[in-house]
Parts: sequence; structure tokens; C-alpha cells
Amino acid sequence: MEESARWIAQEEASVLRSVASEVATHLMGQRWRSPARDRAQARGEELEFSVLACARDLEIWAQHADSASVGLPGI
Amino acid sequence: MSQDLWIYGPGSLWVCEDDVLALAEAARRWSLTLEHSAARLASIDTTRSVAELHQAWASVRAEDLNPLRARIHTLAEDAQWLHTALMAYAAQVASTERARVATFDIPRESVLALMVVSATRYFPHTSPSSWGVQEAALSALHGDVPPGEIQITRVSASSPAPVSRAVTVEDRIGRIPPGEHPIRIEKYRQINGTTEVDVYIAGTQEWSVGTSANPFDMESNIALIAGVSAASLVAVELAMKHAGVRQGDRVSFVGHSQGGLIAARLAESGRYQTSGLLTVGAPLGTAPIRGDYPSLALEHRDDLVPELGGHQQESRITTVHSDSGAFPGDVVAAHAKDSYLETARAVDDSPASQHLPAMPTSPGTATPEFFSAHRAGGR
Repeated sequence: MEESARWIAQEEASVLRSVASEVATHLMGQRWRSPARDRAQARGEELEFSVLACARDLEIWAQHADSASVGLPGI
Repeated sequence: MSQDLWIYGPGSLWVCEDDVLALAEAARRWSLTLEHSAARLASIDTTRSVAELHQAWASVRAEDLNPLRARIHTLAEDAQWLHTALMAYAAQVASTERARVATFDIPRESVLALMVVSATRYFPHTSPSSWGVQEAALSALHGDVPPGEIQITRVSASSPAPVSRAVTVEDRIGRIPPGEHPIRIEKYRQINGTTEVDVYIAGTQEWSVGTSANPFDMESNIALIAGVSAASLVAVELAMKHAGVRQGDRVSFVGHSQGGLIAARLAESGRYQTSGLLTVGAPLGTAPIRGDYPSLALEHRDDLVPELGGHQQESRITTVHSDSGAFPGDVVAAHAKDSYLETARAVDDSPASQHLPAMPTSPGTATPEFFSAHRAGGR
């Protein structure tokens, strides 16, 4: 099946956004309390923002790319 | 939503709230998703595109994808780190829990044993420092006395409609019968000619010792804790025999309170091919599970009955601890089967449920059979 690089990039950006959203959901309203939880919270927030940043960069790349200009193996 | 469940694995190897497990599981999933994204972006042929870009979009650099892929790959590693750290946290909590048990639970058992011997005025023939609940219970019974003759009556069910085999924890606990007919048996014929049996056992019906005709009394409780012959256990085995269950059949046992302890004793008896064990509010301290079959116990922290079994010997059973939701001090509600039904629902809905032992399932239907029991000769 022929897929454009742009389409793949957009789709993966959407996947990254859903991961970031899931991270945010999981970090809310937890009842367990410990220093380990605080560390997990900090790493989780970091992960959420980094994944979002990657999603944005991927979307920007996709906006500028074109199916005719970027090929897939065998196409 | 978290129900504040604590899960103790076989041998108390780990313990964890379901939120921690849920987050750890989610982190593992994110890691896989991010790795997949990085791999999918790697399928884009940037080497070919570079030349073409000069013709079409001069401002776009396909090779910009490479650092982006690397970043996503690093994020996948971060998510995996989070998963590993959370599992390590669970293990650390388990270690703390083991220390708590060693510090508080074992001395508490001696206090419990002292209460039993004080109430019954029968003292174990061992040093008080080594008194445990089992020794105290045996002493209270004057040793291993046969339970006497038990009679079983098959009860005509008011709704004899066939049922499918229980799947969820809630469904299994819901099938534990009411006290008047304390034994329920379901037999599922399999296509290959074998039979899968589910035995459901109610808890204590009479709280007297030596005066009740009902085998599901306190005397049987003490005998079961002491690990000697108990009238209620004999009653369940007789009912199984009446229902056509043969030694060597595949049987799963489900029980509440004393019924849970009977279930554990029968599961470990070696007389049946045990396919699963589920207990709620059962005093299992002196009934460790050694067999290699799925076993799960639900215990409310505010339920006193599980504590009556004394300190839990090393066991393969997975235990879920939770608060009953009853008013503080309402020990009856904390032990009630209905309270455990609520907990069972929370267990089924919990993200941690996939980590629990899977109880046996099979196709087909069965017509439940109910049995009552009493001591022959009257009391």
C-alpha cells in the first residue's frame, strides 16, 4: 500500500499526542503518596511535555513535506 | 478509579496498590508505542528524498526526521525507565511490608492465642512463648476428635435453570449460597468427556461450640484452624459425593469465611485435581497454599475473621487487601458477603486485575445443586 511520508508523520504525531494525553490522565488523581510517587510524577510530566514537543515538531515537518518529495522504500 | 487494593503475591514477593501497577503497566505500553512510532518514521526513505527536495520544497529537509526519531526513541527509553522504577518501588514496599509482618503480626498471633486459651481454659502443652493460634485451637478441642456422623440433604432449588460458568470474581462470590443451604455444586460436562466442577461454600451459621446440630458452627471453625477433622468439611465432601464428584475430578473451590477455609483445606487435600481457589474473609493463616493452581483471597483490613487464622504461613495464594467501606467498628458489615461482593466488583474493574491469578473457565451450562447438612444424633 502506498503511503506518503507526510501522512505517516501526521499519523505518528497524532499517536504521540494521544500518548501525551494518556500520561497526563494517569498522573492526575492518584491516591498513593510517597517520595517515589513524587519522582514518578516529575518524570511523567517531563515525558508528557517531551512527547508533546515531538508531536509538534513532527506536525511541522509534515506540513512542509510532500508525498512527492519524500519517498518510501520501494515506491 | 483506585479502590486502594493491596495485592500480595505468592510468598509475599511483592505488594502494590493498583494505581502503581496501573501506571507501571501504562508506562510499559507508552514505551512500546513510542518505539513503534520511531520505527515507523524510520521507514521513510530520507536518502532518496534529499535530491527530490531540491526540486519541490527547498525549505523542507527530510533528514530533520533523524534527530526527531532519536528523540522519540529516547522517550521510549524514559517510559521504560518509569515502568522499571515503579516495579522497583513495588518491590521496596513489599520489603517494608514483610518487616511490618515480622514486627507486628507474629506477636499479635501470640496475643490472639492467649485470648483463645483464656476463653476456653485449655492450655497447650508447650511453652507460652511458642503458642500460636493452631496450638490453642487444638487444645480447645481436646485434640483431634472425630466430628461424628454428618447427614446431607439435597435441596430442591427454587430456580433450577441451568447457568453458564462464572467468569468474574464478583459472579463467583455472588454464587456462594445463603446459610440455610451452605453448599452449592455446579458440574460442567466437557466435550472431551471430562467434568469441571465448581463448589461454593457458605460461612459459619452457628457461633456455638459443642451444642449445635449445624456442622457450620464455631466448633468446626476451631477444628479447621487447628487442621483436624471438621464436621463442615466432612459435610462438603459428602455433598460432593452425592453430586457425583469423584476423586481426581477437576474442581474449583469458592468460599466465604469458614467456607473459604474449607475450600483451602479441600484444594490442598490432594484428593481432587484443584483447578482454582477463591476465598473471601477466610482465616487462612494455618492453611498455606502449596499447590500449583490459581488461588486468590480477598480480605478486608477491618474484617477480624481473617486475623483469627493467625499469622499467614508462607503460601502461594495471592491476597487482595482492601477496606470494606463499613462504618468503623461495624465488624459484622466488614465481614459480610455483600461487602465482599463490592470489593470483588472493584477487583474486576481494577487495572490490576490482569495481574491476578485467572480462575478456570469453560463452555457449557450446569444446573446448580444445593445441599444442607446437620449432625446426626442431635445436640
